[in-house]
Amino acid sequence: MTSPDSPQPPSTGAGSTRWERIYHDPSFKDVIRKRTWFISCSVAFFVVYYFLLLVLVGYAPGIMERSVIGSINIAYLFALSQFVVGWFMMWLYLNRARKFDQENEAIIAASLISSVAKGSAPGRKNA
Amino acid sequence: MNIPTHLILIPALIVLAITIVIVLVAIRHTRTTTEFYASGRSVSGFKNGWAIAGDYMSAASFLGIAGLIAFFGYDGFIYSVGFFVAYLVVLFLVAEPLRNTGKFTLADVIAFRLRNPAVRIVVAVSTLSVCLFYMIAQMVGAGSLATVLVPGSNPDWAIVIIGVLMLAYVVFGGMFGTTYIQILKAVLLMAGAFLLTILVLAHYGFSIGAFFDAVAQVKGTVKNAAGEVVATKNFTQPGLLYNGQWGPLNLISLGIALIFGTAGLPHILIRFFTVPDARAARSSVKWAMILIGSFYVMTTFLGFGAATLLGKANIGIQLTGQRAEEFILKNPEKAAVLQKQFADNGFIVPSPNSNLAAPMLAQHLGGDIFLSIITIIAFTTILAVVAGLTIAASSAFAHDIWLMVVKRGKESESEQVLVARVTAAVVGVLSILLAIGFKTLNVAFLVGLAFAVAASANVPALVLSLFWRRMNTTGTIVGMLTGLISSIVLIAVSPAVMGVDAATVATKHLIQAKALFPLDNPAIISVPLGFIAAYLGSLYSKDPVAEAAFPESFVRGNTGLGAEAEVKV
Repeated sequence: MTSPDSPQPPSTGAGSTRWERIYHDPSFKDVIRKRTWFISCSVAFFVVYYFLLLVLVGYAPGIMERSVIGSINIAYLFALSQFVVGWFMMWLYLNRARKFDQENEAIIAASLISSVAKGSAPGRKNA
Repeated sequence: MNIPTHLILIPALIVLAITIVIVLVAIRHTRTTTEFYASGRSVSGFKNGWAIAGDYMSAASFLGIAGLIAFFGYDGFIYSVGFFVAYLVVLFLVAEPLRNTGKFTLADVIAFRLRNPAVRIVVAVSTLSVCLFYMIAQMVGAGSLATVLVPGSNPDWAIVIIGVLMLAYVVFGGMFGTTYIQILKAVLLMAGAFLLTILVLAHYGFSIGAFFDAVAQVKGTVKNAAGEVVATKNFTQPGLLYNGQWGPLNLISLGIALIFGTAGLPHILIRFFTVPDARAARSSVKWAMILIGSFYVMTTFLGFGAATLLGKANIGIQLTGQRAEEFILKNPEKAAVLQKQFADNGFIVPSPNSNLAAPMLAQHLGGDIFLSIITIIAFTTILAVVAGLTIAASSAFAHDIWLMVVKRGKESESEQVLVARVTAAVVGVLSILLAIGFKTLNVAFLVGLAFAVAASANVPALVLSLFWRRMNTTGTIVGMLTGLISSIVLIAVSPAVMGVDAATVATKHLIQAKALFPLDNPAIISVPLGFIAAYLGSLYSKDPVAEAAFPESFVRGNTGLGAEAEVKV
């Protein structure tokens, strides 16, 4: 990288750079589609689960105050469950991300071969 | 709370000695910009996880949340939940693409496709605002904490000492030194919280049931606007802090600021530039979530423990003997309550202070030695957080405004590092002066404001630029300014800043008038405004260059191809 600014001058014309070839690569699009779906569902789930606690605590304290075991009530257990759910979502993400990594590596390797075949320099800078 | 001087001095000197050794080692690792801003990108995921935990768990978390739970019961725990869940947003949306496309700052990522100096200036201004708001709150907190923990000390001295130490760590130690100071602080804080938790549980024979039975015995009252008691609740029940007409909405607005704001806090985001690659960024969030989650679960034992073992009325500076009797004589309106407290305990607490819940719990359970250890941990905590904020602020000015805008990207490495050091020193001095100037004002709202600006200005711009092809220069500038200005204006007219105080109140509202906006935190309005403005601004303008650069930024963000590499030193 010669300039201290990160972006390279954006090139014009579709498919002319390695970035665009990968971007339009069907197998890359496939990984991105799966990744986007997984991330959207997960984010929607934990955001809803979190605000459900706040809404219930705010608007339905009567339900939340009910005892579960002795003096421990639904409100405390629900709040505590946010930690358990959070750690579970983290584990889920780490697992899925490992798979996406492997699929991405295959795509990068393939693009490297094709760019060598086309005679253009493989653009792995700083590596 | 009179701690013998040697008890406070010995642990303080030990911690000081360790940090000096860290900085002396760090000096050799801060020669290039990559070393100064990003610790050579050579920090492992595990270490960075500890450092993130150190950067994040401020005095507001440790003393503030423990105090809120000790004074208001369950509602205080809601903060803990929000501070933790926020890391899922960081993990799923921000950490990896940030590492893959960025170099040193948030502006590097947001301006990646937008080759426009105005974008850099706006992002830098937003970053500097968040850092300054947060920093002033921490340093004013340090000053007031010093006066209560070390009676007779001058708050100005505490602010100057914390400020000068932080300045020295950052100027000489750079990101390398800051990282290890964060790790040291996180280890101390986790150990202190763990010890306190064990001691609280031991008091109840390690029976969670018995502990909660005791918590349910602690009662608090809900008052209406006129100050009349309308309900009595026990500490396991929600509603002692968030009640009344606006209570539930206040709770939701705070929740929005907490979980989205974290993903826009500059001092947390720049930590992801210190690791070798996206996988290490991911693993840093993993370790950070394990540590931060465990810590916030423990806050219930600290807070509820202080509520049951000490009681809200006994937490604060204590007066004994003749001084107590004199105070009761001078304040006849509170005499009945104070006389009972005096007869029961042998001391009185004229004005309860929630920040002292954790230190006083430590004194109750472990005596003066434990109190002095927890006091030192509290100051180390503040020190580490302000050091992280200083380096974030200095990179926003030196890298984004000075190098990229003023010098148009052309300056030698050694000059860049020099400018960064000078900026860090200026930021440090500025925050010392501001903290001394604001020390008598109630600045608790500044932490809320920092989170609100981060959530409303930084997060919409960051997330949309990473994932939305149409996001462009106009959208970024309009969105960020809308988020920044709306959160500042709304908080300025909220009950957090505006209010009419009685003459006897020690720390007063900034504006003595009735609040115009009903909620303490503006996030419920300002976050959607930030997103909508960024969206509309991009939709109604054309920027073919930014769109053409999306494939590169997106492929980089998702694969790590072409990302800034680790520097072997």
